[in-house]
Amino acid sequence: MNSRHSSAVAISAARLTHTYGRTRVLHDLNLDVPQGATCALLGANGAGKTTLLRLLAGIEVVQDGRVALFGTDVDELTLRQRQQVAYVAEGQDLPGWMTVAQLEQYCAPLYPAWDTALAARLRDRFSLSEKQRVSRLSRGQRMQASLMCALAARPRVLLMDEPFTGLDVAVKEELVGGLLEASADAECTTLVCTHDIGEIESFVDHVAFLREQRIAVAGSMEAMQARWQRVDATLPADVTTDHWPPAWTQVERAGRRLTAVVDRSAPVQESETFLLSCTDVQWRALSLRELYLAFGATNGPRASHREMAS
Amino acid sequence: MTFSAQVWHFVSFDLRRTTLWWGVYLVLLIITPLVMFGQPLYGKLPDASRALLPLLTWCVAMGMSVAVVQADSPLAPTAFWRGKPIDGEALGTAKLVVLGLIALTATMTAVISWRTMEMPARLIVPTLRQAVPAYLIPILFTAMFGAVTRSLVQALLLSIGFLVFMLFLVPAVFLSTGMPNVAIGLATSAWTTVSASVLLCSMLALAMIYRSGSANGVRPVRLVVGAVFLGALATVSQLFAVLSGTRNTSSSYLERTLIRVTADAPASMAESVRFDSIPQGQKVGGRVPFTITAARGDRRYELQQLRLTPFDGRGIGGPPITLTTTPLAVPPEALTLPATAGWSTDEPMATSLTPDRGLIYGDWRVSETLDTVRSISLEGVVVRYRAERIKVVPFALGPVYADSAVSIQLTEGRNGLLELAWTSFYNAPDRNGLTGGTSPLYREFAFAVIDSGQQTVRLLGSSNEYGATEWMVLPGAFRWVTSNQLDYQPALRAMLGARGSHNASLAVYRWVEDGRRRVRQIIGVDDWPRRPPRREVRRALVTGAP
Repeated sequence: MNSRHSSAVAISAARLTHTYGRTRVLHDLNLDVPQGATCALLGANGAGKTTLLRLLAGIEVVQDGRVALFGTDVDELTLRQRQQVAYVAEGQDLPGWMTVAQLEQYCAPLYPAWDTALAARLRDRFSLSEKQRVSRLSRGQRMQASLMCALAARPRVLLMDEPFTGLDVAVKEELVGGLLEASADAECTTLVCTHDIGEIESFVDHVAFLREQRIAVAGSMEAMQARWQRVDATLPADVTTDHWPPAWTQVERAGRRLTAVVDRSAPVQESETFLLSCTDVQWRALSLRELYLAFGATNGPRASHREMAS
Repeated sequence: MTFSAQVWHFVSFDLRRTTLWWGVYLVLLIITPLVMFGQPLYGKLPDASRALLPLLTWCVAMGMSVAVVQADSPLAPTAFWRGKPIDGEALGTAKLVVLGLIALTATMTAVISWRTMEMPARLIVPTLRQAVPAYLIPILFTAMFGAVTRSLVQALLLSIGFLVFMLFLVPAVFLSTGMPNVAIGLATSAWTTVSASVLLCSMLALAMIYRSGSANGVRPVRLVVGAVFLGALATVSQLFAVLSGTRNTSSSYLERTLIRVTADAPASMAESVRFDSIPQGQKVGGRVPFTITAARGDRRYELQQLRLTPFDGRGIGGPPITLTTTPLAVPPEALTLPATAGWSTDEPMATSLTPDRGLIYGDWRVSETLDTVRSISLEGVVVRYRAERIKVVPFALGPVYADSAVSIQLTEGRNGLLELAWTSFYNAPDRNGLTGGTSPLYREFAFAVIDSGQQTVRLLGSSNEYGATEWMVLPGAFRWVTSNQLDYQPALRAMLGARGSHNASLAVYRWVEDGRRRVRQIIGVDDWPRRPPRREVRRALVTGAP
């Protein structure tokens, strides 16, 4: 957990189960995001990320379990509390008939904390013209407009669903820049689900991996990277075993070179003993992408997820 | 942001969003009456093309309703308002406000149009009672379908399909029974109930759809299905009640019946009072109970009514009273058409009547002496009237009763020279298992043309073997004829069939002073199309001179 975050939980889900018809997309899901955190929600396609965000945004009705913002169930949030939540989603309809200025005029009264100056600053940063009709904006510009409206609201909770999908690199950079600019001085809790891991790695400080309808692993990046580390080592020449310590996962061997992800919170004795015989042992923190491949990707190498789930 | 502030915020943006729609809508609303009634276009455009304008106006209104709702679809999880701190109730209320504005605009335009045509102010409110639901129902219902569909076309098709079903179900079923006229009278009040039910259901459903705020799509669809079901249930229950003959007899009777106190001679009427509760659908041969609500003088009464059904009266204070049933009008033989223009043989029929709630509703109050005019029956004439300011067009809308022969319908009147002042009745035997009886809501088309000096009146009415239209002409009060009442009640149109146009009456009178009272001088009769109107009739119509 990052030091700048308070201990209060801004976003929480408990024993959350959700189905569409007979298809269950979330099952007994638990998640806590501390206030002020910027949390990445990662998972494979169809893992239920969008559903979880919609439940948090109040778009979907909670069927079973509990979803809360600021400690209050989502379906019991007052209008005042809802005004502190912003939701941005790829594919979200925008009123195409409005100009960008009208879009701001429409949104501004809905949020008491609306920051006109920030809206103008973001508009400039995104090179959006006030007179431009929303229907004539490109896909990237639409997302920028959405983000502008969301950030100018100075929300306490910002929910973003695939904000970078289909955007070119430059636009992604602008979006991230805008996001950083807006959220830097705010006590804003952000939950962003995306497949563009590279884009968010620079600013997320928490991560949650959604897998098999529930959160597989979640925590601060700091803690995750302290716990899960990659070890590179050269095996002795006579080692032929493929039996690795139980805390190891994603083990790959190429000749005598060995690389693995190690849970360093697990009892270390077996790992240490094993590595004593190796040479060139190097430890390094996992990148977000590596963490995702370990815990979020459906087709990625499987570890003992049940054990890892925190 | 308060609830009302939110509502206004959404309303203002919805209005801005639909600016183009509103432009087209307003233009249509303005030009339609101009084309329909205004010079120089009046009567010069083909009927079909003129009929397109109201149709187009409705399509625009319905399209606008769908656009307003679908702009913030309660069904689509990707709708812009989703995820915004927007109160579903406020948004739903805003939608209802905008939809109300659409209906209100049409209503206000209609009122202006009516007033331009010198419709008496006292008629505005009762007419609006029929007009407003007629405007609101398609708009709300279309909006309701729009709320649960994604495309404009889909919503419009669903709405039009359902509305056509509702509009024609009642008369169609009755007509199929072979007893249209009584049925239509009954269907009129049935339609009122159905309209109210549909209106209420659609409004509630729309409000609930937004209130529920569920993007799952299940609840809104259920609500709409529920609303449609309730609307259909209201229709079917009305049908069932009528068809089974169990419809109760307590329906309100707008066209109150007059009775008069007869001290000595029927002609020397001292006072008139009213009674209520003429039931519909009563058994032929049965007796109509009623209550006298006000009476002075001798408690012997004479009915001023064409009804053939015996009456049982109960006076104020309870004791039964004696009633003599006499026709209001002079029997046909007394109205033998003079070979040449001459003095009418009609005798004064009633005390003067001043409209209370409106002429067309037949709710009267006694005030001064009045000569009552009956029309003259011209057997077998199908009237086609091509006067400059009145047009009778072939019946075109709704199921046609009888053998789909040419029928007639009054569709327009203008210039403030017309007055509808009629009562009508219907009295039919049981037939095909349906209960007959009187139908006070039976309304025949009828009109009068009064010259600019308000001295000459030209009347057109119709009758058949079951019913007739009674004329009550108020000297000095001629102003306007409305066929709007017919326009707003589709069920009523069905009665205008070939048989209904038999015995159409057409006569021209001139009012003259005869001692202390005014009497009519018959100055001409038209029996078109057998022969052209007499020269003096044409002259009377054009110049007002006898």
